[in-house]
Amino acid sequence: MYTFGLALIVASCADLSVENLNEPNTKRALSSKADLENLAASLYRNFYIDTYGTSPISVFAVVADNATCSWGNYGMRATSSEPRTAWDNTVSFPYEDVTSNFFDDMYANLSSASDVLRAIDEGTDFGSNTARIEAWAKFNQAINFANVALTFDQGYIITEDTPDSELLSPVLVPSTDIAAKAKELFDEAIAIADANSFSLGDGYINGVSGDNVLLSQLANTYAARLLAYMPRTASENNNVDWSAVKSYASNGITSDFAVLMDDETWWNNYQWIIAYPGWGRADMRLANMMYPDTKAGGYPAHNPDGEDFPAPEEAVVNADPEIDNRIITDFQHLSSNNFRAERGLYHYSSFRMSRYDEYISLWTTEVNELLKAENDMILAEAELMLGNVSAAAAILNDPANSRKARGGLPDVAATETEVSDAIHHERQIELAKTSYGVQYFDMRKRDLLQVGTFTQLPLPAKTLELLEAEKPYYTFGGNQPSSSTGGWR
Amino acid sequence: MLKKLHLLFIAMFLSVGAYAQSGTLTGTITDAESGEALPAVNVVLTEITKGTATDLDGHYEISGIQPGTYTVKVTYIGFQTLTEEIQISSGENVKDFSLAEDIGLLDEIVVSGVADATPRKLLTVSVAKVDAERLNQVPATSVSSSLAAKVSGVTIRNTSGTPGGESNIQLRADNNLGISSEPLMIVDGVIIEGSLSDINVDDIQSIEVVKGAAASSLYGSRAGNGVVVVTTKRGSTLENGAIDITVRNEVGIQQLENTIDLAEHHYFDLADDWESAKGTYTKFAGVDYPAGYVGGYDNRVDGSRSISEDRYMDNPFGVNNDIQDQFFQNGTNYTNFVSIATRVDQINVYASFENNSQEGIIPDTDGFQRQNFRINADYQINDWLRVATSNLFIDTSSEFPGSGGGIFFDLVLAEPDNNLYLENPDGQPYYIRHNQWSNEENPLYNTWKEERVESTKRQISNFNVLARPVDWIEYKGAYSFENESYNYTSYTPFDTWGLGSSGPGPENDLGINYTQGDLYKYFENTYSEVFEHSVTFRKSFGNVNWKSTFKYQWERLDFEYFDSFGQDFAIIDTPTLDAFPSDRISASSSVREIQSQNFYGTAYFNIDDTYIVDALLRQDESSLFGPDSRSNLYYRVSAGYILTESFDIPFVDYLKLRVAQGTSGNRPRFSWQYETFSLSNGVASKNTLGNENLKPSQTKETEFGLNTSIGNLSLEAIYSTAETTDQFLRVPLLPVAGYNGQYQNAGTIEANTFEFNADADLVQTDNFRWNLGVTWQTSKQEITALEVPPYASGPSGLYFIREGEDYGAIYGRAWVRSMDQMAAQLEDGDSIDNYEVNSDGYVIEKETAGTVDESGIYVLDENGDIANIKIGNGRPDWTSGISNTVSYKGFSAYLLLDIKHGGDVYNRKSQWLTRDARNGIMDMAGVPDDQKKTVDYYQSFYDVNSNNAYWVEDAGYVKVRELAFSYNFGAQELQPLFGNAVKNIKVSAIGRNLLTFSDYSGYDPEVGSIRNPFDGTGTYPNFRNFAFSVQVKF
Repeated sequence: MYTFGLALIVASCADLSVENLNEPNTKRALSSKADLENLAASLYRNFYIDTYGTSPISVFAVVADNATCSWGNYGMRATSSEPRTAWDNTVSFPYEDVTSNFFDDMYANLSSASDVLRAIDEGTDFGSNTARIEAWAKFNQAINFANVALTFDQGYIITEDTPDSELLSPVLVPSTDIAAKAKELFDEAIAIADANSFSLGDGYINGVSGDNVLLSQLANTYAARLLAYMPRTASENNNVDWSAVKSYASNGITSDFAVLMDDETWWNNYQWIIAYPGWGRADMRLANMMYPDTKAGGYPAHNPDGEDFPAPEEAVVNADPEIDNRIITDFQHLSSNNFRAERGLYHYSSFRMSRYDEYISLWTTEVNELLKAENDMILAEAELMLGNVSAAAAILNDPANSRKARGGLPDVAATETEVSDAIHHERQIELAKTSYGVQYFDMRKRDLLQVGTFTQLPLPAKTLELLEAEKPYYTFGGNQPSSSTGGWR
Repeated sequence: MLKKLHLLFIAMFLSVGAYAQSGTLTGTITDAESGEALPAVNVVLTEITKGTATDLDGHYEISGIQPGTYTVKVTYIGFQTLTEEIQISSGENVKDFSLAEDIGLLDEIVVSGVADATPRKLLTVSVAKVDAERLNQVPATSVSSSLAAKVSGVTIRNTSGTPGGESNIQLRADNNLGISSEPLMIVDGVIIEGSLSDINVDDIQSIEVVKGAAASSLYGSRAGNGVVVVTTKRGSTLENGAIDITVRNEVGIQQLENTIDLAEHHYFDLADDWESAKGTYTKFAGVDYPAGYVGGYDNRVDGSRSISEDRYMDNPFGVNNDIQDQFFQNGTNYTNFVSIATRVDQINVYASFENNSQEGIIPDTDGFQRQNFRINADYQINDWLRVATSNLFIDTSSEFPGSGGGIFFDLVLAEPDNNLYLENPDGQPYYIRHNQWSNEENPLYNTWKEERVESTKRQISNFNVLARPVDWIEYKGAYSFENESYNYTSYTPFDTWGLGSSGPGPENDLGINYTQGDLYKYFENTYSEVFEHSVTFRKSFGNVNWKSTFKYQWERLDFEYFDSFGQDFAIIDTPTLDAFPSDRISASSSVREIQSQNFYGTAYFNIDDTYIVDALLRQDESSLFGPDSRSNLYYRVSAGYILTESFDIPFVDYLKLRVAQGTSGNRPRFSWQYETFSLSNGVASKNTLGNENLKPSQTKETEFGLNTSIGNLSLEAIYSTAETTDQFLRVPLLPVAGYNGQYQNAGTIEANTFEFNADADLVQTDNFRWNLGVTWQTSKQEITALEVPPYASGPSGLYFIREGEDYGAIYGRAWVRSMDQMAAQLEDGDSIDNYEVNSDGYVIEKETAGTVDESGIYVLDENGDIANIKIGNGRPDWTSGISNTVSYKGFSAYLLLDIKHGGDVYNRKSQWLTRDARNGIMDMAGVPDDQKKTVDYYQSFYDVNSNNAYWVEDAGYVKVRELAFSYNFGAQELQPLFGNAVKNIKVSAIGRNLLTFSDYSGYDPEVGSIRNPFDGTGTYPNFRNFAFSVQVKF
């Protein structure tokens, strides 16, 4: 009886406020310097995973006819069927998460970056690391905004300066405003990186021990990308501030920028979906660009009957300088197709992208994020658009650059059409499987997307539902606005 | 009280001389069968309403009685009431009574949902009881499945056939949106946190099901879904000095009942000489095969299959294997059980051991093994003090098939000409790419190569002290705990083949490589404990019996897990985490602590066994509730009126009307109140916002019941209406603050249930007995308020949650079925003459039948867009259980039918099969040419795997749940052989889940959960079991 009495006394002191020890309490985390530093360190990683995870990246690759896939994953089949239709912007669309996840993720990242900057504003002292953290956080804000601006027609501008009242009823602004904000943040990040000397923190970018110089270069290249890839049509392309682009690209990366995957916190889903054996393939259009069917043994751009084509002969490819060598080095020939026939034979292709096969078998290799070639092409395009055709041609014809070094292609003449086509060629072939949406952005601003392809994406249906927008929710593509009217076919 | 005082006063005045004349009535009351003294028996002289209760020796004394003739009424729970006329004279009068047990249905004792043990006839709330005899007719493999079809208002669904898996249990209706609707489980006073499938049935004395919030108010904020209370045997009812030994052995076979109808023909052009490859592979036109090709993926195969012009699936394969038949195998199951019960003077003990093994129907998979060891003991220390303990030790281990559900999908997607028995390039069996034309992996390889095992060690214990210092106060103190350790390992060896690239180059690149394996280890421990103190008062005032209980309860749960995952072995054949380079290992862990304290008080009044009133008030406080809502109140009031005590109704022995209203609730999950970052491998990100105001949901139920017994027939009808408010909804947020959702209390569900059950001894003679039991119930549940936008929930978002909609409604696209429907949605310029109804009952464009253009037409909404409407409902119209027991002398036959009428299942598996042209409905062989349909027609319904009405199937069924033929060898028959040693031998042939009568096309209409009846691609199918059991009692 005594023990029970004792137990009664002991037990009545039930402590009903239990801590959750599994996850960092927000208030605590945002006031602890160490936790904030960790939060800052997670920024680019989250951006990377989100961009290459459930995002429009695979959709962009297939609607650009750069990759081809009729499996339904990530909305690839729904969006790349021919003839093209509008983006199904309903909550019940099985792949609506391709936009809604991406949208939510970008803002979650922005919020974390803002948390870090707010902490600095409110006096958290990071000591000698302040410049680094500030530049880094601004850089991350910029790249997340950039993704939103490049993808959607509108969004929110939320930073550490946004007052709480606006957070309760945020205001939608067009993507051009978001792009402008992103540019502003890139500039601020570049300014800080150029004015200070620091090395990037542990874990900021896996496998990369960079410094302020690298950060500045990255910011410049990402900024150049943003400005160059924003146009939805060829006429918008003419209105880009190309001298700003040239300035950014000139200060951009000077060698390939890759991120190391560790298959635990760093991984790239896109690499898998677009090229895994049995999954995505390279569109026949690429084969045609490398080895056109105007030559014997060449390939057509369009494969309506789902034919299987023989492998290219290495001797022939090497002998003819006009045939791009990368058809042998970067692509693997497959003798039969396993896409489902009834989904459209035009999806069939005899090639898959094999340049990065090491990643999809080992999973812990480096993956190219921004090739120097991408920066080169942006610079070349800027020169071209500024009227410096020969400067653009010089970049293309530089023996160290991808056209000559990897493609083994002949010099390009200093004419607008040839230079433009050559830039296009490099973007589609050399940059395959790298950087968010590059092939799609290139196609849309040349008015090359197939008729009916959307040239940007609407706000996700889930977001519109929260905003209590009227149904049917607006969308793009097909016979809706922002739909390609021209096209390579 | 006042009356007594009054009488005493009068007696004093009148009895100055008469005092010497008053008498005393005294005596001892015993159990007629065992001769044991019975404590707490009520003895009342009805005319003067003077009475008392017997003490622990069965002794009673009533004094101060005026001489005369009186009626003595003796009442005791579980025994027949005695009424006798007695003559009292002055001085001592002795009258002993001997009470006989009355264990009719109405006198069975219920201990759950009420403060104190109550006979059913005096119950005002709904508590059903299933006793050992019923449970042992076909002993279920675990408590989890033992109640199916036996109790009205209880739905049991076997969501998968995995041996050792738990069944889904739901009492009455589904009241909850964001959390489970499983009832609270209590075993011998211990609230069970772990799985019910670990607990064996042979030990069980009874299972009580406390349905409805009114009944479960007693259990407060954990019991919104009702409570299931299991009580195990203790040996307390044995005669003094008796020993009872039971040995039972069972062995049986487990077998898949149905296979899915798969297509045996295809729609590709065959090569002209395809017959030359018949028996080995299918030779398709336009494809060049390498010499010596025997099937499976070979990168030397050149070309692709081309679709035949007519696009009918009527072309034969070169080989026609029944892949399902090759894969599923018969498994064995066995049970070995022994128990000993004994009672000696003040101590009774029950001990038992059971070994149970169930192999399951998957190859290379051992299934489930379980050992249970139980020991219960009661010790009556002295007159007023008793201690008791119940303990169960459980040891289980389980092996799961391969890497999980994907194998069931790979299995049905395989084409009939696939050979699952080819070799991998390194000689491992079951070549992983058995199909040249697709990416599926060989399911036999997977079950053979990968290992996933789990094991649990668990102890469930209860210690209690019962003290009765005076006969009208009882104190009970109890401490219960449950300790469970669980570990799980998943091992993929280094040389496991998987799809992947070996790098560019070698001619024989098969697109596969070694995955380099991985190892996952998970360990968790849960310790939960409860301290209880309760005081019960029992007193009689005249013909009013009063009982009150006050109880304090303190609960605590501690949970911790950690796991670790290593990828890419550095060393082969060494399944340990040390075999990985340190940068290939990740780990995570979590702890959880829950503390609660609860207090309740009840009052129960029984007036003359005719009117019963009961009231309960309870307060729950828990750390799970947000800091601003820590404490919550629950209540219940109920009343019953036994008409037959007041009136004489011809033929009716017993009729009671009862009504109850009460509240109980459900608690939020641990993490929902905290505002945190999500943490993984050191990386923090924002996900769900915490909510400090979270409080438990509340279910308020009003219930009306009628119980009656007419001769050998007893009936019960119950109507209950419940409203559950403050549901837990994860409300989506605009991601501007970084969080995209938050759990809030919002939403209301209303549910109405009507239950009926009847039990009748249709024939009862000396040798022949026939008992029939019927349960029948129907439930309706509706979302009456929703403060968030409607949303799709459940698998694939099929179950649409919308205000005003049935909870369970399935939403999706629909197809036009009638010309009228088509006429209502014609586009401008279109005419109804362009359409007709096809042979399947779908509207199609005219004259497209049998062509590639034949396809279903979407039902459109008023805007002209594809409508998203209600296409089905997962809730059944009604369900019923019918049990028949027929016995003649020693032989008995028992049949239990489980009937579900209505209730749709979304057959996603069938839909996926259509994508790959594997669905049997697409097979056109044998169909007359003018009735054939193209592949494209069926694929129009596949509709890129959208949720649509074509795949909603009525999954009503009639199942033979349990069937048993047994023969009982009684003591007389065994005497010549074994003397007095063996008391009884029972030999039975048993069948479980034997037969299913249903129109459903999948493996089993009983699929998916009760909330979301969904047939996905990865479900382990249910199987049937034939077994033979021998039980010997010594």
